[in-house]
Amino acid sequence: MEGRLSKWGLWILFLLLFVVIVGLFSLSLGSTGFSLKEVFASFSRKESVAHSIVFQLRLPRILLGFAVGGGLSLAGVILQGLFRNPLVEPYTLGISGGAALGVSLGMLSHLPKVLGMIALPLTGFGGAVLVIALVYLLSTRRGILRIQGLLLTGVMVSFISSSLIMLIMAVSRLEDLHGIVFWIMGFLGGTNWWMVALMVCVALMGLGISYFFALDLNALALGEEEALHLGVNVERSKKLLFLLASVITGLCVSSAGVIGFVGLVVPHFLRMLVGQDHRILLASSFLGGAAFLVLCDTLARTVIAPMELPVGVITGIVGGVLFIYALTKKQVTLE
Amino acid sequence: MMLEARQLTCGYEDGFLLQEVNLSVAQGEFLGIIGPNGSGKTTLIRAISRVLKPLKGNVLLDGRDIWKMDLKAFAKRVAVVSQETRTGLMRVQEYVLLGRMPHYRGLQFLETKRDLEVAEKAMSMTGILHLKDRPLRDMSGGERQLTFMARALAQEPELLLLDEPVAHLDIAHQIAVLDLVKRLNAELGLTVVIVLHELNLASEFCDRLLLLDEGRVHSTGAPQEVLTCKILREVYKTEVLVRRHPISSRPYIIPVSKGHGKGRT
Repeated sequence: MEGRLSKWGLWILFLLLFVVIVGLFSLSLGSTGFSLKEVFASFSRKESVAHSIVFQLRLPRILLGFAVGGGLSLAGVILQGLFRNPLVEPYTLGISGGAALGVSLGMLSHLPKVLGMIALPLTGFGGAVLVIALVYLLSTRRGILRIQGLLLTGVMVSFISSSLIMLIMAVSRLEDLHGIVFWIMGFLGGTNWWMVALMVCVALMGLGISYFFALDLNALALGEEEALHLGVNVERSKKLLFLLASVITGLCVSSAGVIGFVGLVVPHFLRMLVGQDHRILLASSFLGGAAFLVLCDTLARTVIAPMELPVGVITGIVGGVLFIYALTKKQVTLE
Repeated sequence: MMLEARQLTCGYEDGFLLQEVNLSVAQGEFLGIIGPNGSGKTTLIRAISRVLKPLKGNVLLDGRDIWKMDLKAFAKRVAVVSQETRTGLMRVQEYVLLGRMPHYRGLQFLETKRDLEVAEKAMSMTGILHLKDRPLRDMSGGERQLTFMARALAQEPELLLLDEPVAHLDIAHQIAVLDLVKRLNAELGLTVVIVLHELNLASEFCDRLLLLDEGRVHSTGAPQEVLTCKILREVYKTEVLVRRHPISSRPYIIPVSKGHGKGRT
């Protein structure tokens, strides 16, 4: 136990370093490649081409990737802890379905033409909030949030939303259809600094708030009644943690589309590496998720450059393959 | 009275009810709760450990309604070892340290030196200190039960509530766990309320017994008052013989199979 704090410190330092390296790597890579030297040089030469590519195209995209990746993994850790189920991810609860439905409706009704850039994130977040409220109300009885009910309701709401999205896609015009499909598969590009700033703030604040519940999450791993015996205000913690994870997920989805797997795979990997104490798991998953998503996004925009792949496709493939590999290497219990 | 339940009625949605239970436990007492399957033993533990809210009546700890107490303050005084505990991939020491949670200050994030010392002491008292880095799921049932006890002790409680702590254990571990509880009761003055299935163990270890039958208190008193042929036949609807334990001279129950019963009469 004495050496634990320094071990945790080393993990954080290592992951931070990893995030920085991935960031620099991603800044230099793309349809126009730069060496690291050129990237650093572009910081000072404001009128160069390199400067505009690095600062106006790549940097906001990378920062958004960090925030969304970190946020989704954080939401994943929280929900897996809350449900005591390592197969839960932020999207299991129907939040992404709701957001995607909101966006599809927004596109169908040509809101982007009226409201501009802000329309899609706004409709997406609206859809997510509606779903969160619905799932939450349906799973609460006599003031008690029933966790297993929440999971089932969430899965069903997911199905219903994806069916409705298919219905919308079936009746929408071709140019709208392309937009909807691309958005559903996740896309980090084409963002603006305002969105980036918002998401970075939300992700970091989410991380900060989650730490108030780190010990409660540790106790909840023993079951709700056991946590109660340890003096944890279980109902309050459950509700606040669910809301926190939902809001983070909702904002991530509305800013970057549906990027699956980050919130499932990253917490899993880090649990294998750093252990399951949430005091280290929360921060390390956040950093790991940030690095993972930016890495995947870099792949997405370089593999068939100058064309781009949807980043959700890459996270699914890379994450899935890595995960299966890890499962065969190390036993993962479902307890 | 340290712990008191007055006219306690509580239950679940499916209709099971614990009805008008009166219970009082004095400081330093060792009370056993016995009764057939489904008689409400676990429900009673849940009601007095602040899990199940009473429909009527109340539960008092030193005269204060437990539902009006602060959760942390309650957990500092009352530790519970329940039947079902998940432990995931936790290691023994990590798990035992969770018992220190009620003692953490507002924004305390890490264990203090004292927390580590208390946890260490709890592990050595239960005899599992040498296992402290083992993951719980690799341990035997007996070792796990001792670990649960250590976690409860790390809470430094005054009252210990145990729900069938020796179910599924072999005879050596049954005695080891119950001897430990007895020692804590005698040496540390810990008040104990324990649910036991096995009547002979209840008779041997408890000062006083409370017999539940279909959600009501059937009888309460010293083992020799409760564990009589007549009461046991009535509640368990089974033929038994009651003898005296040759060493402790407490009641000793011998079950009689139906075939034997007929053969003798």
